[in-house]
Amino acid sequence: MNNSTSKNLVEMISIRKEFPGVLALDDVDFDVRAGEVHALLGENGAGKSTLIKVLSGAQPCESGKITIGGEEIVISDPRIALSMGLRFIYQEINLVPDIDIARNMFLGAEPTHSGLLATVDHSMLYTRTAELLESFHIDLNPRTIVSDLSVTQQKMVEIARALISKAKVIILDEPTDVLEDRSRQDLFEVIRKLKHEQAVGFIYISHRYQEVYEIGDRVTILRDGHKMGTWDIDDLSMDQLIEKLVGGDATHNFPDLPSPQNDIALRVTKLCSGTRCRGNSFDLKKGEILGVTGLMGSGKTELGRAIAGIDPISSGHIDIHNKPAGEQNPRHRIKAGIVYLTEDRKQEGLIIDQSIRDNYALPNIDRLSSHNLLSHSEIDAEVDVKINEFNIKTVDRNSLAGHLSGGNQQKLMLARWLGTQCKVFIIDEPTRGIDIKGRFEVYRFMVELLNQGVSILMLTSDYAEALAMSHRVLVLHRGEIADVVDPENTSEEQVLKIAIGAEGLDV
Amino acid sequence: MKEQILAQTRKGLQAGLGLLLITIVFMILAPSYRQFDNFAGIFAQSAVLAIMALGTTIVLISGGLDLSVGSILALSAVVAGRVLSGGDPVWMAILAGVSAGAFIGLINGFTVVTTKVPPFIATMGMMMIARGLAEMLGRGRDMSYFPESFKMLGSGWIVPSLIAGLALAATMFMLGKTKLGFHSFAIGGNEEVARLSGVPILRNKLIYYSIGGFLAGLAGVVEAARLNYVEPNYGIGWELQAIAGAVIGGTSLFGGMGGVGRTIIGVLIIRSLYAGLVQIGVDSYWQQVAIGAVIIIAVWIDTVNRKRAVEKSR
Repeated sequence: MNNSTSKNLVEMISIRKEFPGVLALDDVDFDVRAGEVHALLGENGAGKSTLIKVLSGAQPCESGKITIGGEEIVISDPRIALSMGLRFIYQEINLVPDIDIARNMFLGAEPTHSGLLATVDHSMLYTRTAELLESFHIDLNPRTIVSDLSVTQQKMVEIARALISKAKVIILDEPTDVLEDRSRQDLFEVIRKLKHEQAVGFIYISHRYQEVYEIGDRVTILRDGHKMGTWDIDDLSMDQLIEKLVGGDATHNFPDLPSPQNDIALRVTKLCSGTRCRGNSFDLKKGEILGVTGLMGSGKTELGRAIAGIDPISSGHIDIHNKPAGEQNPRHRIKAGIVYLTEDRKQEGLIIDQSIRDNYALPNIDRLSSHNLLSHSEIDAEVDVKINEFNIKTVDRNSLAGHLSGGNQQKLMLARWLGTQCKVFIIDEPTRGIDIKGRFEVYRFMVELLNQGVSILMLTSDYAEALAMSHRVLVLHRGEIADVVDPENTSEEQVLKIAIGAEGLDV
Repeated sequence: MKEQILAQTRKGLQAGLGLLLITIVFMILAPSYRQFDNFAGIFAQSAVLAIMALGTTIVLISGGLDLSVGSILALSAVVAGRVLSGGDPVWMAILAGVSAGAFIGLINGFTVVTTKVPPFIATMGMMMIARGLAEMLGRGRDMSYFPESFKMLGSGWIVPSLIAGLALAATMFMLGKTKLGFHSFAIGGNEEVARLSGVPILRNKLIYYSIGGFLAGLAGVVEAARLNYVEPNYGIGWELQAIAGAVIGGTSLFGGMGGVGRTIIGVLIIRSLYAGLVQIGVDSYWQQVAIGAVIIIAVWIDTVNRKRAVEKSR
């Protein structure tokens, strides 16, 4: 690129951010120049969103400074970031669905007639919106109600909205995640136009690494809160990029997996559910961990939820221990022996403002009661044993589940479901949000589950985890099984290539 | 449960202290408040509301809401009154009254679980429906001078209080000892977690709303016996007093937390305020103002506590 001499619009220097037990950002530097697209890449938990939240003023940082246009600014509030010309466009659409495009564009900044009443100047509102839309070749009527627009059109409107007042830097967080391939090109057109004509700087966050080669000028890679470096995109091959992203270490700490048996515990045949689970078939053996990985939106969670009876299935069969799994709801599926452990432990897994004891008892209450009457002493005794056995760090069984760390919450989930008769565990992102130490403890307990005759379907977006903790790995691409790989002789790079659909493609 | 029990006991203690304080203040201000008759009156009036509020508490704990209980009370009273005025035996009147209540409650539950209409709307609709039915069945009929054995149910302050005590014991047992009760806290705490844990949500909600209706029906029968006549305008606005009683006692409007014992204290607070304000000569408009303020403050405290608990868990 020829704009290496242009000035930095935004400069973030030595940004440091800690969460309890985790160093989310370790003295990270980052900058954006006028008229460039600077891609920010990293795996889940690498610190991308944290960095952006610090820049937006949504979260304070422990140390470091931010300059905008050469001037040092303390961004303590999102309004400061806005007033400095930063525009954030998040993954989810942020428009009011029931009002029209023009009113959304100028929401809170409506042009007004002069005079005491300052009533909204409607003709101005609609002509300015029409001008703006036209300048990006967005062929839409300003009077169209937003909920009548496609997702792509809504995204375009959001970007146009970011430009009604002078924007210096636009931050796009996974902008193409909700877009179809064709409309991605439209978006890229708009980005290129803004970059060249108005010298806007872009920070571009994406999981789709090929996109960076299409649209990016420079790329910065974060891993576990550390900056791996910043490169001109032409100086970094896809292989190098992936290697920087995932790293090649940390396998030696994983426990050994016992060999699975030959019996089939779970058989899934041509399962279809929603739009992201499209005719998948596979077997899970007794005592096996079958890893399922893929990009965000590849349908891992949807697959798990369909098997666990949580979401409806449109076609296909699920057999457990060679018998049909029965009614499609979690209650019957649990009785049949299949349970889903959610990635969202605080919203769907545990009742965070109730005790460890009650959370443990919840799915086990049938066993821990007789004739519908609870046996409190039995519950207390069993919970104490499990807290000990699973090494759950807590004052006692009466502490609130929400007070536990992520790792201890996960161990509580494993413990309580082991208490049921379930023999197939679907574990979604078993170590998301869990620090390194807790992570390996969770792995050890997963092995312990195998020893007790449990089979595990492990849904994970962490390729290292998928390869180290599975007997086999299914790689999903857009709702379908793209390949089944043997972790012994597969690299993370190969998995990623299959996941992004770039297998066999020379990049 | 220790943290919860501690928190709950603290809430209970807070409410108990509030009741004690109100009682002492009124005893100082109004000589008539020191009379035994005054307390007997408060108990008699509290008993009927308390029976109803116990059901409301269970529904609230499970994350629901029932605005129809005031109308159910009236409908059940009318049903019992008509059975009696038709000359049928007392036991049949009682059975018909409480059954009508339980049945309306069941329909509430059914509407909430099948249509997914928010409980506020579903039970508000039922509030009007049940009131209309009560008017239809009761308007223009003379339903009074009931048999002695029926009047027994509402005689003095002792019998209604005993019935409320029995209802309290039963609901306490249900919440504390049974799977049904355990599940109500789980469903109110986080319905999705409960569902994914295999709790039969639909069946349980039917039961909670039915219990709410049953207890409102029982309250209606006792009220009919106590006043010795029935009118279809019984219990107007009582559903809000029942909710207020539960909330002042520390049951969460958001579900998942609460207890029936403290609801009794909450109801006593409301009734004591009414009785005391009358006796110190506050006019009825100011009574409304004072009670309204107490309810807001109680819910405010609940909200603050709740927020703090959630923040602590982050």
